[in-house]
Amino acid sequence: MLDALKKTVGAENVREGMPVVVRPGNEEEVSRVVAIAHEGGKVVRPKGGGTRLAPDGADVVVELSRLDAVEHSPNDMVVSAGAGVRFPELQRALAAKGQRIPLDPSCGEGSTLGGVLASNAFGPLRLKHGTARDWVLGTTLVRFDGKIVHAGGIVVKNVSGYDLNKLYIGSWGSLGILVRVSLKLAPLPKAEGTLLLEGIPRAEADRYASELRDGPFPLVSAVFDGKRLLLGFEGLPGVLDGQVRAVREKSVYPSRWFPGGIPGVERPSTFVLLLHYPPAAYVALLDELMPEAEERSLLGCGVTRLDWARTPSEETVRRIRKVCARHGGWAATERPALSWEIPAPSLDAMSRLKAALDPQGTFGPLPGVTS
Amino acid sequence: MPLPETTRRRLEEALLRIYGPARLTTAPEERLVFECDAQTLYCAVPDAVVYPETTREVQETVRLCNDLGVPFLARGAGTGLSGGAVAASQGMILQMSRMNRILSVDYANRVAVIQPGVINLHLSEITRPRGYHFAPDPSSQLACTIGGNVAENSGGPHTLKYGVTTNHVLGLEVVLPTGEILRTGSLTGDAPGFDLTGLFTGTEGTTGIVTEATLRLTPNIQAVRTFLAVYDTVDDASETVSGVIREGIIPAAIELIDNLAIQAVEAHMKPGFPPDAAAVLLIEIDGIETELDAMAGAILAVCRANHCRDVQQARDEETRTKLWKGRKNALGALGKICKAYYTHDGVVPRSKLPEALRRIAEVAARNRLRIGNVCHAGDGSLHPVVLYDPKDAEELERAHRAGGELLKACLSLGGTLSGEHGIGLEKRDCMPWLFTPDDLDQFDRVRRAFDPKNLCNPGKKFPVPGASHA
Repeated sequence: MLDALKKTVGAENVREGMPVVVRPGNEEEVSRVVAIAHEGGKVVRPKGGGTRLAPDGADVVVELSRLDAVEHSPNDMVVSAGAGVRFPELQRALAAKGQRIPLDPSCGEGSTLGGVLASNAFGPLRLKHGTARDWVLGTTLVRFDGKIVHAGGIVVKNVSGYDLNKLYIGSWGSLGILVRVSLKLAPLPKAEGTLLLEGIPRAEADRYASELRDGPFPLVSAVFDGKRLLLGFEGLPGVLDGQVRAVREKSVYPSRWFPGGIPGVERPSTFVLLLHYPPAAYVALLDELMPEAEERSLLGCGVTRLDWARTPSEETVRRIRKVCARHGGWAATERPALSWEIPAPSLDAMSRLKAALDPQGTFGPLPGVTS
Repeated sequence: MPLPETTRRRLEEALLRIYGPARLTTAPEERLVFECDAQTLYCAVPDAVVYPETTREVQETVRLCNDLGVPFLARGAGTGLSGGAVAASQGMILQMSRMNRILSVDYANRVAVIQPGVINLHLSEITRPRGYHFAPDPSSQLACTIGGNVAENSGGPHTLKYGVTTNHVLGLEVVLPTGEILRTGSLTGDAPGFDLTGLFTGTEGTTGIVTEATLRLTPNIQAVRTFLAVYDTVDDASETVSGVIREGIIPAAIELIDNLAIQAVEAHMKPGFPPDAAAVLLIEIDGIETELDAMAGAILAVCRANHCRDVQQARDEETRTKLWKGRKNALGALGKICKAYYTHDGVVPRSKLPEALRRIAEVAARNRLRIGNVCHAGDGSLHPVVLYDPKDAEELERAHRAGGELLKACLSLGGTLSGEHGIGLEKRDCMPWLFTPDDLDQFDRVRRAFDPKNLCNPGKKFPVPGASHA
C-alpha cells in the first residue's frame, strides 16, 4: 500500500509511520488514496489543521493543505475553495473584496475550511448569521470507494438532489473527505464594535441581551462568561455610534465601547464540554450547574462551552449531562475526545446512513459514539 | 401498474379498520380529484386516499403499505408544481390536511411546534400579533402546507435575506418509509450526531412522512421601505440587481417582472406597473429605521446609474401591499391571457441573470411562443412562464421543446434544475444533465437506507432506470 500511495502523491508527500500521512496535491490524488485504502481494508481519515481533534484510529491520514485554491465571485457573493485552505487566510482573501463567510469559530491560524465544516465549528456571530449549514451551497466529497461525488451547486437556491451538504457538515470526516466547498457570502460590516459590560449578574445579562435582540439595535453577538458580557454590533458608519449610545443608556452597568471589536483569546484547556439547550433556559441551567469551569455562553443561541484545565471527575460530567437534560438540553464532550449520547431511533438512522455511505468503515466508526 | 385485485381489497379492508368510512376515499370518481397537484400535465389516479389525524395512524398506514407492498405518498395542499403529490407509480395517498394543529408556540425560545397540515400563512397570522412570523413565504402561502414546504424546501421572494425553509426547520418527527418513528433536531436545531433534520428537509417526500415540525420564528420587521423601479430594457433592470448587492446591501427582496407579466397583471388588478415598461423591479429593504435611509439612498443611486426610467418609494402600507399583491398574482394574471401556461423554475448565479433573460427571449423567439418572466432576481431565481394552447398539438410540442431549452440554458450558466419548485416527476429525467452517475448513486444510497422497498413516493426526484418520464 505504501508504494501505491507514494506513486499516487509522490514519495516526498508521504510520511511513513503509524499512521501513514499523505499530502495529495489535488482531488484526483485524494480519490486515488482513498481507493487504495478502501481496497486494502484500511481506515483513512482527513486531517485539517489539527486544531480541534486528531484523526484517531487511522491507518492513513490525508492532509489536505495542498488543496487550497480559492475561486471568489464577488458579483455573485459566492466562493468555491479547496477544503485545505486555511480558514483565516480564506477570510482575509474575501475581505480584500469586502466580503466574508459570517462564521467566527475560535480556531487557530492552522484550521482549514474542511475542518471547520466537518466539525461544524461556530462562534458568537451565530446569533445573527447562523452556522455553517446556513452558508454552504455545494460540496465535492471523496467517498468510501474513492469516487468523487457532488451535492448542491453554486447557486443560493437549489433543491436538485438531496441536501447532503447538511449531512457532511458536522460529520467529522466519517462519511467521506471534503475536497471542495462552495459557500455563499455576506458583505463585510461597514462599521462594528464590541460593548463590554463588567460586574453584571447572569440574569441581568440574559435579560439585557434579549431586550437588545428584540429591539431596533444591530446586535450580532452576545457572549457571557459569568462576569463579563460582550455585545457585538455591526452597522453603518455614522449610524452605529448613535445606536450604541442608545444601547448604553438602557443599562446601569458600566460599559466600555471597543470600535472594531475585541480580539478573542484562545485558552488552552484539557477538557471541554459543549452544552446545547433552549436559550430561555440559560439562567436556570447555569445557576443550577454552578460549574467549576471557565464558562463561555452564547446568549440567545442556547450554547455554553465549559473549559477545565484539569479533567473533571466522571461523576461531575454525568451530573452536568443530567441537569442539562432536565432543562431540555444535551451535552457533548469536545476534548479530549468527541462523545455524544444519541437516542436509539436516531442512532439507528445514523448507523443506516453510515452503512450506506461507508459500508466497510473506511472512514472509521460513527463519530462520538462509544460502543 | 395497477394494484392486483386481492391487494386492493386487502388494502381497503385494512384502511377501513384504521380510518373508518368517513376518512377513507375509494370511489373512483372521488379519487379522481387527487389525480394531479398544481402540475397538471401528468396525472395518475391513486388507489385510495386517507385522511390521518395522528402520527399513529400515519405509522399504521405506512406499516400496512410495507406489508402489502403498496406505494404511498403524503400530500399537503396539492399546490406543488413538479408533480410531487401525483401517485405516478400507483399506490395510495395520505392527505395530511387534517393534521393541522399548531401544537405549541414558545415565544421565549422563538419556536413553534406544528403538525404538517398547518397552512404556511396561518402560522404567521397567529404569531404576528406577538411580534413573530414564519419567514419562508412562497407565493402559494395562502394555501400551501408547511409539511409541503419541508418536503420541497420551499422558497419565496424573501429568501435572499431570510433563507429558505431548511434554514427555519429546527426539528422533525418523521414516520420513516419502513414505519419507525424518528425524532430529529431540537429547539435550537442542534442535536448530537448527523444533521438528520437538514437531510430530511427537501427530500420531496421520498424518505418518509413528516408528522410534526419544530420551526424557527423570526421577529417581525421593524421598518420597511419598498421601491418600484421602472426600466426600458430588461438588461438595465437585471444589472441593477447586481449593482445593489455589490453595494453590500442585502435587500429583503428584489423581484423582476417583465413586460408580458406586467401587462397581464395591470389588466387584472392595476398594482401600478407601467404597461409599456420592459421590466420593473420591486425592491424591498427592511431592518432598523435609522439604517434604512442610508440604504434607500444607495439603492436609488444604483437604479439611476442603470438608467431606470423612474423609481418611486411606496408612500404607505396600502401602496406597498398593492405592489406585492401585483407581484404575487403575476402568475395567475398570466393565466388569464392564455389557454394554459407552464411555470418553469430555473436558477442561475445572480451575475448571469441578464444573460439568462436574454437567452430566454431567444428561446421564446425561436419557438414562436410567448414567455413571461417573474424572477426572485436577488437569488438569480427565475420563473419563465411559457404560454401555450394545450389543444394545439404542434404548439404543445414547441412548448415542451422550449422548456428543455430553458433548463439547459440555466444549467449552462452555472445554474441548477430547480431552485424551489422541486424535481418531482417533472424533472427527474433531467437529473443526469446536472449530476454524474456517481453523484446519483450517492443520493440513491441515502434513499435506499431509508426506503429499501422503494415504496415512499417512488418515481420522484431521481431518474428511474428503465422508465422515462417524458
